[in-house]
Amino acid sequence: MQQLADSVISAAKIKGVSYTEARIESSKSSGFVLKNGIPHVSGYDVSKGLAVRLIFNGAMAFGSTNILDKASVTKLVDSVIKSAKASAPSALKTEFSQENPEKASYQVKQKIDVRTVSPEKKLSLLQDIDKAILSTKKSVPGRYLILGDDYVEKFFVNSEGTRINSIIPKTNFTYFTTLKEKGSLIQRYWQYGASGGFETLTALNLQKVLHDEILTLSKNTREGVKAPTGKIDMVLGPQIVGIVVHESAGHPGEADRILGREAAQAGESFLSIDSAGKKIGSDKVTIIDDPSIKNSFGYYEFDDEGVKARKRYLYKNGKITEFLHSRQTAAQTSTISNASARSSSFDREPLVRMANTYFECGEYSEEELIEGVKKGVLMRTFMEWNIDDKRFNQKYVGAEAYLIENGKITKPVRQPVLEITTPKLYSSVDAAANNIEFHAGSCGKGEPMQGMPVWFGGPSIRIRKVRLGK
Amino acid sequence: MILPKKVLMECKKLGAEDAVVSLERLSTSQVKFSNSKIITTENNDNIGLSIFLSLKKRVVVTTLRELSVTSALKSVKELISFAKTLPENKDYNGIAEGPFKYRKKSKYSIGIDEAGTKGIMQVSEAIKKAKNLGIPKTAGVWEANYATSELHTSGNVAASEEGYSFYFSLRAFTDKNASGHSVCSSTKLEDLHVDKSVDEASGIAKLYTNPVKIMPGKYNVLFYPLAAANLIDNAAQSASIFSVESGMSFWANKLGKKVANNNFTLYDDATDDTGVGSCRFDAEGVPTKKVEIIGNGLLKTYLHNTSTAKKYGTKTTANAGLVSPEPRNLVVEGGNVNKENIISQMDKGLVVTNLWYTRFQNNATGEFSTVPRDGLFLVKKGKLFPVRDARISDNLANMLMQVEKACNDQRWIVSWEVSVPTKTPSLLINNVRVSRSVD
Repeated sequence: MQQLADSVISAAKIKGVSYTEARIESSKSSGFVLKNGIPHVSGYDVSKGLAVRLIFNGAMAFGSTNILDKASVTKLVDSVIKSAKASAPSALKTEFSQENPEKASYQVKQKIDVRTVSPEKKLSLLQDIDKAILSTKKSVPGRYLILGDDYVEKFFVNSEGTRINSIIPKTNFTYFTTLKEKGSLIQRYWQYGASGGFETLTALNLQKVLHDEILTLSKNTREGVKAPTGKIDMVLGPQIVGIVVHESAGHPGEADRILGREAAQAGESFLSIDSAGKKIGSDKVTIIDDPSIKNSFGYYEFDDEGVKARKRYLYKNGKITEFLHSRQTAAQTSTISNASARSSSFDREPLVRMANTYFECGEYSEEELIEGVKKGVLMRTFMEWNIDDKRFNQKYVGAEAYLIENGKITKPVRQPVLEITTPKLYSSVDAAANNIEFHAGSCGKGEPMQGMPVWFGGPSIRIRKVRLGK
Repeated sequence: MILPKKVLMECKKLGAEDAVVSLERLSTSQVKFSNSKIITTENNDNIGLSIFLSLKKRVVVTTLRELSVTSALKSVKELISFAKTLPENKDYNGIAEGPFKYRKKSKYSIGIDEAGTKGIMQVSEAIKKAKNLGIPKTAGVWEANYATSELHTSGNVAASEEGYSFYFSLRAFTDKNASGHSVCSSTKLEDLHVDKSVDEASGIAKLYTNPVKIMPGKYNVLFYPLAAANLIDNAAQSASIFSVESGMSFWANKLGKKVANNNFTLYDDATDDTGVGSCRFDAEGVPTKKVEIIGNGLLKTYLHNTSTAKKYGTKTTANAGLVSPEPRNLVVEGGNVNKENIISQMDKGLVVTNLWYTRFQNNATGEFSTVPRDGLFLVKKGKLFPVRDARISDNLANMLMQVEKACNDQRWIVSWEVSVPTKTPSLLINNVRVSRSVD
């Protein structure tokens, strides 16, 4: 297959193309759905395809096929060049940042190879989780559980001499539960994911996670009081902090959004390129995106443009420090890429994406943050959330939440609503704890849509003098 | 193509009671633009073989995008072994028994590469036209798709289909905070009205200057088709019996009951060949039909496949997907009132032209929120005043009960946020709760 990719580079060179890259991806994935205890459907997908991206007369063009005979690949290269030529008069003059050619081969090790675990065993994990939910003796009429894994082999080559081979297996688990309590229906959705073998799933002890969550939400519903009004302090738990940093630090820091490339799709950003160095929050706010975290859901060592991955400081001590770049956005802003170009499969163009975004740990325990609150709310998990397309106005509705009175958790609070602007949120942070957690998500961007595996997380943080909504 | 037939025979030979084999090929040509320049083009040509089979009520599926006769037949063996290890799905009740007769579709043909070249020209002209209208910055996408499918099932179905879809989306900016968005879609290139979308998006953007912060509260809201389609697409997910069973429907236990105002009627109509979701048969080969989901406010049916229909003692609505029933072409019945008349007669209200990031707090009850994007206008005594920073935080089930009027501007919407093609007019919905972030 590497020969096929190499032949694309040679063919394009002969036709006068200034830059070409080819990516061959093969994957095998399996998935299992358990709906209210019944195995709804199980299956697997197998895929192998070729992506070609090139720059001709300054115009960028992309193409893909999974019909991998020589004639089809030749036809693809010709049609991609033809499109580039035709669009050139109306096209942005595309340039890529100068990067060192890389040659590497890497793979994520698995203790228990996802390909060797029987379907029976995978499904039985879901059944055990379902049993654990039922063992709470609570009424949970909706139990929708999904488990999946995939094993992706990739080869990337470009006309500058970069050649990268990678093998990344991943696992994921998603649940959607509906709890009936005191005549109310309470729902919760969440996802777990990692790169690695089946051991990454069993290590999570998902039976206990879901069992405990059902009991917690049940108690919250039975005993929860209304959220306090007026200005209060809040402690946000790691799940909330995770979604906060993903939505209002990661997304607005994507350089393609800032430059308007996603304006008709995922939107733009409240930041501009000259926002770098400006203040966004208190000095307790440091937010990082790091693809190189081992076994993370967003793990990679080289991005889909063949650039070596590294840790990126999006916000540091309250200041905006770095944006996420592809080679194109880097060239547009006279910098170099920080390896943020990712593609969800062979038939999608690489876009600027997050990997693993998190709030840097502080020095306190969560208990110490709570002790410092006279009147406030601890929000641990959420159900509903959204944010505008510039990533400025956001909303999080708490699922598990508690009232804090005189430094102590006193009682559950029902569905507090935090609706706040990004600068107000980050300016209100006065402390971060050291209880960091990472959570998994599939981040959506691009047209056609590309769901991208990411982690987001952080420790509990405390925000001062904010007002809850209705 | 003999591959699906061979695979079906292999499924039966190895003991599958039910099998559905579908070979699908999708060729696309796409042009993306931003900052009034084309930023990339895409040419994709991909083929996939999907196999659904049941073995003693064990249900398994696969999609193979690495294709050869040998690999496909090998996959059947693997799939059968896979099925043998699983527990049974007690809810599974089989697939449709054919053969069926299918309606005829009018012939249409254009080479996908030729369409792509026309797309580049249309985008270049759209950018130019917007500039002439005083729009300094546009972004969007133009897309042509040609799809073929061949379906063979153990229920005596042998059917094939081909079709085109075209889509154009343009967001116009007069400055960073002033934008308008419009989309169009069609099944014939000559029916793709790019010009109208440029006019609409540009018109909204030019009106949306210097917006001021909105006052939270309850408003009567006129949702333009792009915004209304977002609400309808989300609501219609509640109609699938799969959503009902999974706790994701706010229409559970509502069959035959009032779920919307009397003036609201919603169909799923895969037979409307002007919608890009149209098709002659569903995933198990049942001829598609016009399905009335909500008739004058009453929930008439859930969307079913053969298996779920048997479970509930009803007939399939021909909405089978490979895994679960799904809508294809949603149609909201139009009214006879002009949206301009509604605005002119409005004492106080809101006009929402687009919605973004719709998320549910509770799918079973309908509590949700969504963020107006692009032109958003406060209406005072019939006049429009640009406002910003609004969030609709309400209950979608309740909002449908508050549909006051459906306008006469019904049209197809497909967008980044609307995945199921939806033909809808502007909708006036009363007493919608609007919130705002704390600074």
